[in-house]
Amino acid sequence: MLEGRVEQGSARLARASESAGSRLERWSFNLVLGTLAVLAALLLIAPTVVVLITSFTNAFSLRFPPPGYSVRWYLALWNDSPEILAAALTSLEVASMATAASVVLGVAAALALARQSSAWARLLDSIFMSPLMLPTLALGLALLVLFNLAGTGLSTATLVIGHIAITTPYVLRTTIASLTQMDPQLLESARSLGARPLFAFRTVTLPIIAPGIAAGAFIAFMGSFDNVAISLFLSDARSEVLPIRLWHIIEANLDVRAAAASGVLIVLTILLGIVMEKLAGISRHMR
Amino acid sequence: MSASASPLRQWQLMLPLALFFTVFVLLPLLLLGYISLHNDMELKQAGVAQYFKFFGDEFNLGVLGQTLWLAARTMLLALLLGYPLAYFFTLAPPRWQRVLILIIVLPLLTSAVVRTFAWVVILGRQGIVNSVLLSLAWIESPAKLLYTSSAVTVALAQIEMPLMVLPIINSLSRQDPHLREASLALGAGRWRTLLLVTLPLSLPGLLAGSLLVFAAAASAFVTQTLVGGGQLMYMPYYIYQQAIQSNNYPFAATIAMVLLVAVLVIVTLVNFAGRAVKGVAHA
Amino acid sequence: MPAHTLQATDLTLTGISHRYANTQAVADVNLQVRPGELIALLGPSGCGKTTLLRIVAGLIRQSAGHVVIGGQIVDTLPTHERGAGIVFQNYALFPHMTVAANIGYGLRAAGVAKPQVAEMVTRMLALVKLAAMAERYPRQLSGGQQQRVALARTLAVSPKVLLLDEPFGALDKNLRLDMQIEVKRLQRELGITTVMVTHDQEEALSMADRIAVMNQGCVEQYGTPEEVYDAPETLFVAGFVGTTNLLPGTLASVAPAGPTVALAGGGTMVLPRARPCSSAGPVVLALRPEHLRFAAPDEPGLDATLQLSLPLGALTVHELALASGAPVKVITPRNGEGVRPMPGDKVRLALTDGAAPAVFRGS
Repeated sequence: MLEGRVEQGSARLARASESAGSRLERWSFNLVLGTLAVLAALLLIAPTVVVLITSFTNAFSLRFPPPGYSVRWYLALWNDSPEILAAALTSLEVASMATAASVVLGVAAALALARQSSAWARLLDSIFMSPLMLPTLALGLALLVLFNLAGTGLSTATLVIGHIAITTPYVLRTTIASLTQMDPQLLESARSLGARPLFAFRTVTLPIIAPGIAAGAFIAFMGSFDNVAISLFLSDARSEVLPIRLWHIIEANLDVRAAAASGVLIVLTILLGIVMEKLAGISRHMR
Repeated sequence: MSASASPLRQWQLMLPLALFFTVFVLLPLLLLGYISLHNDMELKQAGVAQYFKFFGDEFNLGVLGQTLWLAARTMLLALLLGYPLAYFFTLAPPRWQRVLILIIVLPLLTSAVVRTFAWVVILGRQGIVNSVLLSLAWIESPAKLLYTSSAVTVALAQIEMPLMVLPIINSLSRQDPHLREASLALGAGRWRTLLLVTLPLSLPGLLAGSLLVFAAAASAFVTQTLVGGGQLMYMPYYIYQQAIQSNNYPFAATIAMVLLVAVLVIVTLVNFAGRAVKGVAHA
Repeated sequence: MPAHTLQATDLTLTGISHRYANTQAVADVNLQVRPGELIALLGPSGCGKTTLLRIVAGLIRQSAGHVVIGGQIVDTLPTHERGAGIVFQNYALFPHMTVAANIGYGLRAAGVAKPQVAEMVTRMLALVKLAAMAERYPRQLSGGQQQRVALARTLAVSPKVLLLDEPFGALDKNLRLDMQIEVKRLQRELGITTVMVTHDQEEALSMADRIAVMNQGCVEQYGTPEEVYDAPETLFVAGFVGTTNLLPGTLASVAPAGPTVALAGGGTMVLPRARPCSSAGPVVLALRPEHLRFAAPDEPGLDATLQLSLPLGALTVHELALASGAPVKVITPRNGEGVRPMPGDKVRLALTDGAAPAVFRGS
């Protein structure tokens, strides 16, 4: 980053001719802000690290630091926890279906809304993004009420519907961002070269916004997989999802298997994150 | 604006999502409001008794107040820690940035249950904090760290911090780096530069992040329940309890509506104020 | 190398007007471009030249008027059916495709078979001398190379009209001249009707067969570079094209020697002709710096004080001030004969031989 280098260079020059007072000021600034920043970073990682370490304990409690290490809880998770594995599978199914639907609905809407400055467009944008800002708990309850009143009851389908409501905003946001960043002259060039609208979309727009869509889909998938608020109300005994199951376990008896399950989830998330970063450079879209 | 794009096609593209949202977001929320306007659990009698019941009872008001106060404290803590992190992120070289971004984003991608569970482990009687304090002989027996409102605040601040950091990074990156250098070159110290130049210009991101954290903290069911325990009651659990355990849907709906409106009002007010301040900052 | 022959097409714009919200971007433009001609739309930013270009391309549907390409009214035709290829200032190359794929894009869009596409791509690459870059990506190319790819890409579909939007704006000054020559050469060789938008008058003057000088949505003058430079039809054209001294004065009735203008800053000028404004009264005289010379005190002309002389290659640029304080620029050959005044000297300025400055109605 050229700016960084220029910054360093000019900073060095500035320091060479500094007075004692300003040196003190610089030190205090860097110390205070730096400490806070480091604290923040540590705070962000520490819990994850603690859980990972705890999951390898050989004891029956969550004592930290663990008295000894073993993989027994991971084995217990794999061999003796059919209900956890079933919940994981359900979560996987629901997340996949919700994400797929979100991509279809979200990309279409993004194409309609990107680069539109009319009042309608902004209103619709706010409405579509609202699940991200409002307590989704309320939406979960509201959907429960809806399905009860409509007489359909709860099922995997209603669960997926609830998840679609909270996953689509992510896809919408990243896809709109991608579309907005795309040089409009690319499409204009394509058209002046004789490309019909559908051909231009397929060969120019889609490949260029694909990473943005992928980033949105990834966040949507994880959001659905991890979701509690919606699942709390729409999940029934047959379609229990992993986070709910884990919550019950933790609330009930602090089973160490919960640590192992968490460990698996953390590692999987990190791996998936790295893969998505390499494939689609999603860190660019997270901002 | 082109000669050949038909506006009709745009509406067709938007329709599926619009329909979905109408049926599965707008309608249910309207229903929720409708349900809350019934005096009895069988939904036979319409009225505003539920709201009177909510606002008339000290306990209920206490729950609402505690929830909003928790959200506010969380927001401030997240801001205090998150802003410096975002600030140094923008100054860091690219390699560091890639690492930092993953650190910041990872919590967002893991389940609230997992993140909360980590705090249960950390703050429990046998957790790391107690172990350290015991080994340093600062306390004699494990302290009750869990199930306090401070614990919930700290846990929530950590869990929701990415929501604060990312918008601020966004705002800071859009700033012209020369503004900061110009300020320093003009003789303003670093603190002055931060307070008078960098901070005001990053206000949009700061506000966006703060509101996201506030809204998320107010509705963080899992963390509030697991770290707060049975004695601390917040709105989300109250809703769940009334709906699922007591089957009192009208009241549950009322609580949900109150939470929704409270968060919405605060967010709107702050947005308004933010826009006014932004006008000054950019004048 | 066989030339890529195109059927040269003419382009006619009749009564084109376009309104954005509250502003009139283009106002009643009528232009005719002959087959194989290269014309420039020249004007300051905001004059409507880019809007006009985009109207021809079909990217904007004009509020009124017709675009006629090769005798066919194309107003209702969408962009992809018009045959008007447009090249943008930033080239707009498809970043996710190789150079070869970029060039072949239009043909693939038309459904041409792969072997033919490949053959045309090879021909185009040879035409712009980029054969070695076929498998590279746009981000790996320099600015000049990217522009050649953009050109090749548009020419590959044999457009009836070639539209260039500030094509050299993004290039280094040194590269600009080379690319201008290159583009002009290609255009001549292929005989393709071309409309070029630019705000750089030197570019327009050197490249175009005819120039349409635009201001605030209107075409103020449409003529050859010589006509536009030597015989500007409006004050704006006189001021915009080349450097001019605009001096207010009064036109006396035609005396035996010729039209005489008494200048407000002092002095009189006898002109060979008074055009475009020839009626007596207040006028503005447009005097090019190269139309003035240092003269003997008894010759009719202006009195001025020399302030600065700057050598510029083969010429010297002199900055003078009239009695009223108004600035006047004079350009003389550096090694020419005649008076060589020093800064601070009072000098008399007269017209050079054959100079025919334009006269415009004043206020």
